[in-house]
Amino acid sequence: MRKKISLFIKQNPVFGMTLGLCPLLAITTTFENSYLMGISLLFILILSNSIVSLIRKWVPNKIRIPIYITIIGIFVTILEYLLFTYVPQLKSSLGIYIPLIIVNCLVLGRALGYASRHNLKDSIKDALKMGLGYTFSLSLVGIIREVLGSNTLTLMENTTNVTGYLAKYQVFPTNSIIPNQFFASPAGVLLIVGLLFGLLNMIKGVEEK
Amino acid sequence: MKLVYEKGPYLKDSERTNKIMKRVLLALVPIILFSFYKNGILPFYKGYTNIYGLFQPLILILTAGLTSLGTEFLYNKYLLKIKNPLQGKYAFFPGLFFSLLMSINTPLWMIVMGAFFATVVGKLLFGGFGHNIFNPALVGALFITVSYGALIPGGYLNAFELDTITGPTALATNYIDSFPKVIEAFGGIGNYIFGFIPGTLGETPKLLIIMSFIFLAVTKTIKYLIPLTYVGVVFITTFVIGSVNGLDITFPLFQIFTGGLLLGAVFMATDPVTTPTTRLGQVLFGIGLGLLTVIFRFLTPYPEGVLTSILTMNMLVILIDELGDQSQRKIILKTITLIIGLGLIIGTGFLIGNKIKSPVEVDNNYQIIEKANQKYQVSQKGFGGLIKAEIIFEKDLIKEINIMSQNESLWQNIEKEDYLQKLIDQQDNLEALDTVSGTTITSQALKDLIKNTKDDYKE
Amino acid sequence: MSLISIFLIGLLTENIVLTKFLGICPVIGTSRNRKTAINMSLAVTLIVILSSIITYFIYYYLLKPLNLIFIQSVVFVLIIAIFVQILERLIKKHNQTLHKTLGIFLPLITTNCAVLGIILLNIANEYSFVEMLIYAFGSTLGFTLVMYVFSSMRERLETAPIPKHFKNLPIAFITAAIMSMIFSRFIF
Repeated sequence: MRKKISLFIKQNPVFGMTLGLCPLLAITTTFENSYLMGISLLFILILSNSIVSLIRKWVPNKIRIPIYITIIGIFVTILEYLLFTYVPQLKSSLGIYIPLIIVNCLVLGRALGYASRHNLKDSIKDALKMGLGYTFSLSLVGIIREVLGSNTLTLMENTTNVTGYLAKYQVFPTNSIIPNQFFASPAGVLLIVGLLFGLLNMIKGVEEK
Repeated sequence: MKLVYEKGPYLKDSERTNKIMKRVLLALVPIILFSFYKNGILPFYKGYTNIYGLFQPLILILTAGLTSLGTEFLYNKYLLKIKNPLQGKYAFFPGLFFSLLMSINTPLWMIVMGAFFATVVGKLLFGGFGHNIFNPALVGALFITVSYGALIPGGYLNAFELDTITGPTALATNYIDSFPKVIEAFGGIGNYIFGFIPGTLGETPKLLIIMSFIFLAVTKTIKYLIPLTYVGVVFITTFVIGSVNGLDITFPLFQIFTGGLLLGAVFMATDPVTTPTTRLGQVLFGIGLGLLTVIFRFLTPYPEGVLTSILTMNMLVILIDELGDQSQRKIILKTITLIIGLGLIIGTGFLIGNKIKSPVEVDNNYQIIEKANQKYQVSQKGFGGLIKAEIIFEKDLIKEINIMSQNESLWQNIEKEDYLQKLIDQQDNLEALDTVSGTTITSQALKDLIKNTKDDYKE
Repeated sequence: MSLISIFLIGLLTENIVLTKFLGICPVIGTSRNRKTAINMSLAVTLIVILSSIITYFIYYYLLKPLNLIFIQSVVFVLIIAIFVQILERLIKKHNQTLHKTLGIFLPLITTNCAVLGIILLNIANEYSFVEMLIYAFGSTLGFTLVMYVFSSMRERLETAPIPKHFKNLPIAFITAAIMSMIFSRFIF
């Protein structure tokens, strides 16, 4: 059992490979923001891995990076346009971090490191694995931060005008201990992520260097 | 070749460390006892609290200390599996110091949380005693302040003070204009020095702190160079600020005897682990602390700067010590550094002094006589003389205007029209309010009175 | 907002590393060693300031008039990538020592969210040319400051008896958390 969890952690893009920290730290103030970002990244990953994998035989080595960046960039631009046109409330919460997906080390890293060397089917599988793992990490941090930081759990608030549902719940009965705005602050997420890394190290075991 | 630094305190002999800790504890005892007296015995004796309130200061301090002790014990025993979990290293210190930074009204759970955070995050995770970079008590205090700052009911005032003191908290504003009033509000500078003013559990008894400092300095228990430089720099800088604004030496004295400066300088800034070991380093540390505290006190919205200053300088200790090390034998480097330091001090003083001086728009006919949290006593030049009024705010709006004295010839017109009530109702739209017939100047004066007070309140 | 406010906000109050987390990846990656940290900071400073200037002109004189704002991100990234390539080649040709210190970091900066992030912020905040320069300067100085102090602390922590599960990454984040708390009080 422990071995399985260890493997899961080691393959997780954030906690096993230390990729994609930027959005993890910046975005995760609410659960909703977290999973929305996760889904966005999954979307981009699948598209970019697919295209990169398809054209991998025809791209000369020297200009790989600019080509891949352009491909990712096109998809991100489409996503940005769609997202901000139909859900403009997200501009204030996700803001510049959507365009920053273009330079997200996870996306580019998988394109260069995997998709450019594997066939289409494997690349899509990899994108799914990475994307879902990343969404999981984002959501975990998001839930912790939101519950501790504002005593709420937002399943759907910003996207209400699209889906029609509003789902925002208070988690604990009103008290003085929670909400604790430290956890909603930048310092708070650094602490949470640091403690998570430590905790996960304890679970998966650390090799002494 | 890279030099590997041995983490302080340098004299790792645990006998020596224990001696230091014992003496520091001894030096804290009078301060703790005073806190018990002022915040517990006095209010109880005067009938403002019950038995719990009587012992509350001690309960808070004890809880914090025990939390620290307990946390470290459990951590060492079950996480690190050390045979001798406490190793006699005075594990309760982070909690103890932390509680002295909290107010008497702090809820017990907050004390526990803060002490726990201070011990675990501030000390244990960094490797335990001797290896932490930041002062653990301050880490805990900052955590609590950032998390819950506004939640503590009654602020720093204990039950007795809540009823008797109507003046503002000493550092609530810069008080360039009216700081003698602040001193008077608390019964003279004597009360500041002896400690009978509102404050956190440990910061008020300035005289006792000074005596403790002398004890600790003479017995060479602490790095006395740091508090001397720290307080000295604050004094000089605020002296310059005061001079630029026409104030005499009482202003810097007031700055020194207010807030957590002395407690922080003597007990927090001299923590053996998180402070420089070289002598030049200690002086630089003190200079940095002094400048930062003054900058924070005058230029930021937060009233107290000691906490943040010490933590900021903690970050730089490694670099400061390297500088101090490098210039051990190079007198020129030392002198240059000190001259730069002196320049910075005087420069900062002038800059801040001038910045505070420039008012936005000064209405020369308007004067604030006294200003408390929500109550103003102001005067405005009217037709026949000064109109003196007391203005009371509630939630950013003026709720009451009580005229204390006026010399206006046609005041009955003002009263007939119930003009004061109209002023309150339309306080945000005064231009549209008509003046009372026959009393143009008086009405306008009243309007200006309201406007100037509101402007001042907004700042 | 006055120029000094913009400078101070970029430097301290909204420090890009501790508040906005732009460029956190290279910070964590290169801060174990003070020398690499400084070199990385210098490279970032150089690229950010130069890219800010270039992209400013491209945005206001090319993209905006032609109504092509929506492709700004891709254009910017490509500009940065090409620019960094040119710069790297220039440095390699003319200054060997500089290439040794900065050179290897330059390609990494292309995909560094700090550069693209600051450029996008310049546009989002609608800064004038001077304001943009001040902001770029302030935020890169903030980046360098944090890197320097942070790496000095991490070097020291290498030799401390930190519990083995918290060594390296966890304690780095915790240290950064305390720094972030402190920086959050620098409001002027």
